[in-house]
Amino acid sequence: MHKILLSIVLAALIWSACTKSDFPDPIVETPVFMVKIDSMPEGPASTTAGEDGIYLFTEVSQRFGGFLVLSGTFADSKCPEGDCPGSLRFEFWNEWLEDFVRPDTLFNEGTWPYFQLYSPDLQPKTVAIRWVRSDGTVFRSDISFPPPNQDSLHFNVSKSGSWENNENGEKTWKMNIDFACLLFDSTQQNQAKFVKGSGVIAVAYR
Amino acid sequence: MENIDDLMRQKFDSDDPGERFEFQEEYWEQAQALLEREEDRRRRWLWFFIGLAVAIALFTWFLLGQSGLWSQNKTGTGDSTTFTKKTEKQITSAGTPSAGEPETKAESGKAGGQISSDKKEPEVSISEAQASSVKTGQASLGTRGKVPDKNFSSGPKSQGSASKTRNNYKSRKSLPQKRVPENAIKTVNLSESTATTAESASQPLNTVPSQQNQTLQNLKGNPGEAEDLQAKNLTTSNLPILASLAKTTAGKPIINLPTPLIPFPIPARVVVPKKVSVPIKEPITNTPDPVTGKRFSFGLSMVGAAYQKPDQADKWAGWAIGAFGDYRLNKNWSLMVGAQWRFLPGYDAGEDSLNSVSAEGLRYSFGYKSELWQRETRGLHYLEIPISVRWQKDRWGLESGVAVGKLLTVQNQTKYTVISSLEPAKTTTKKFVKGNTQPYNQVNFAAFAGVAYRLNNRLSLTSRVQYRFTPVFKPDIERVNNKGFGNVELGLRVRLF
Repeated sequence: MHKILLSIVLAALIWSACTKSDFPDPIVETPVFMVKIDSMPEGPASTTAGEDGIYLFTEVSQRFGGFLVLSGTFADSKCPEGDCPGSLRFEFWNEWLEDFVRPDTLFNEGTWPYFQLYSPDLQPKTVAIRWVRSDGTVFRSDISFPPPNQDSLHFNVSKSGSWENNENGEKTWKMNIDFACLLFDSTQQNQAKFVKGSGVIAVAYR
Repeated sequence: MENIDDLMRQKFDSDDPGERFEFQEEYWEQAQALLEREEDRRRRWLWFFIGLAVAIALFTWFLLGQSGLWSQNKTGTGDSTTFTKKTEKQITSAGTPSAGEPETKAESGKAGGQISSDKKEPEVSISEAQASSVKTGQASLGTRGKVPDKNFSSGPKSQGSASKTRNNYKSRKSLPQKRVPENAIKTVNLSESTATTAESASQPLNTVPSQQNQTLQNLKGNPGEAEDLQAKNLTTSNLPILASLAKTTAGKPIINLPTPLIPFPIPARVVVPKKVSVPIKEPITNTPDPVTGKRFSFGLSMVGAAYQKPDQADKWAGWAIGAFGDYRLNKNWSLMVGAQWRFLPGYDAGEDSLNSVSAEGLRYSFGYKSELWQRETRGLHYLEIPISVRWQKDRWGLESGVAVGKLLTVQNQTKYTVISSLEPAKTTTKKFVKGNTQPYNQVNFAAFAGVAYRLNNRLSLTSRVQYRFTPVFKPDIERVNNKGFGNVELGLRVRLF
């Protein structure tokens, strides 16, 4: 009799475990973060987070001279340092002060000047762009000497807002950008490339 | 020794025979039936021995009566307190002469006179040998005149202890030397025979008294002592009783025949067995099942099945578990009914509007996150009711029957796979998901035949071949091979009770 009861209970358990489940509706979204560069010498180029293994790494770090750098880098998902070929990095430099970061005020719509690495003066609220070509050559916007005439250059932030936390749990800020700059070869600083692009990027902040 | 005692005590305290031997009521009933049978046999033997003892006793008594030993022994004892009264017819039927002839009196008087008593002249017939004894006390009795004096005066010892039965009466004729005095009395009192008859009857009487007296003389040494002994016996023990009898039967002839004591073997303790009726369900010899002893048995069955391959899948292995009841019709045939749960592998109905096969989700942020849901039909579950007839001989059995099945559910399996830019693919599988039963036939019919081999009292090995006539899918479902199919099964059957 016990065996019969055990069999019935077992059958009931299996029966109850056999629940009917419906699949969710198919959802296919479009990429959020991407940058498109129109004036590259090699032709138009773009990079999109979530496609071709590209990931947008966001971080905030403290640099020399009391600067705090908020950055976002399009790079291969296996290259979190952002120094691999094809990486495109955007850095926002600012003074390091406690509780100084207010993304809603920092990233207001407006123009950001480019940071110059060799400028002796403190340069708060500046931006820099770094690009690693496919052959590994690093091009930077902040290493020109003497500094380029910035009249033809610009970096505009038009639309911004908060976004999800990154993989490290840090808060991020999303913004639309439109830029034009000179990228200097890090090995031959006389060689510069004028690039012009736009896109949506994100940075981490504190 | 104490340790051993403690050990034994623990053993007896902790050991419960009921745990070792399962209680079976049928065993006790069978044992009780055997005990009843044994007890009946003992009772029969007891009655047989009692009857045999009675028969032996009667036969012995009969032989003793025929040989006269019984009368001789009684005569020797001289017991005179067992006289009884007999009718004339009884005596006549015994072949003795009729009473009351005067001529007989005269003849008998000639013969010796010791038994020549008469109703009217009793004093005349007293013999010489008894005359002296009568003088003391017998004379008074004789003067009362109504009772034959000879009845009390002649052969007192032999008369007092004589047997009462007819056989003894006959035996007296064959032993005239001791029985003559009594016969003579009867002849004198009752017979109405002729003188010739009286003469023939009185012939031995002439010699018997002298022989009897001679015997007494031999026993006592001289005739005078014998006469005194006879007279003493009469006066001390017999006379009062005889006097009372004489009063009650005054004026009528009285024949006092001795009543023998019949030795009857009475057992000291007779135990009358009390029969207690015990209801026995079925005689052991009529038990239908030589193994279980029951007509009905119940058990569980487990089989593995190999199916013909479905049209679109490679799965072929299924199973069935269930319970069965077996009713034994006679020694070899039985009827089996069961209920079992059958799993039929494969038979994916594919994708339709209600039963999608897969779903995908793709989200982007800093990277991408892809989610994929996939569904697969693992099999169909049926409830089956098989009905079969089984033929069993020794350990082998053959069975054949039909089964009807009802589709309970469709078992699906779902896989959930998630992939992101920074994490590898990760898949989670759920094997028991209800599927859509719409594309399938809900009821099916099948026939089967198989063989069973009984391993022991409870376990049997079974093998079956089954063919399902009803296709899996409904006719409106376009399938390449939507028709009946067969399977082979191998399994175990466990009898619970």
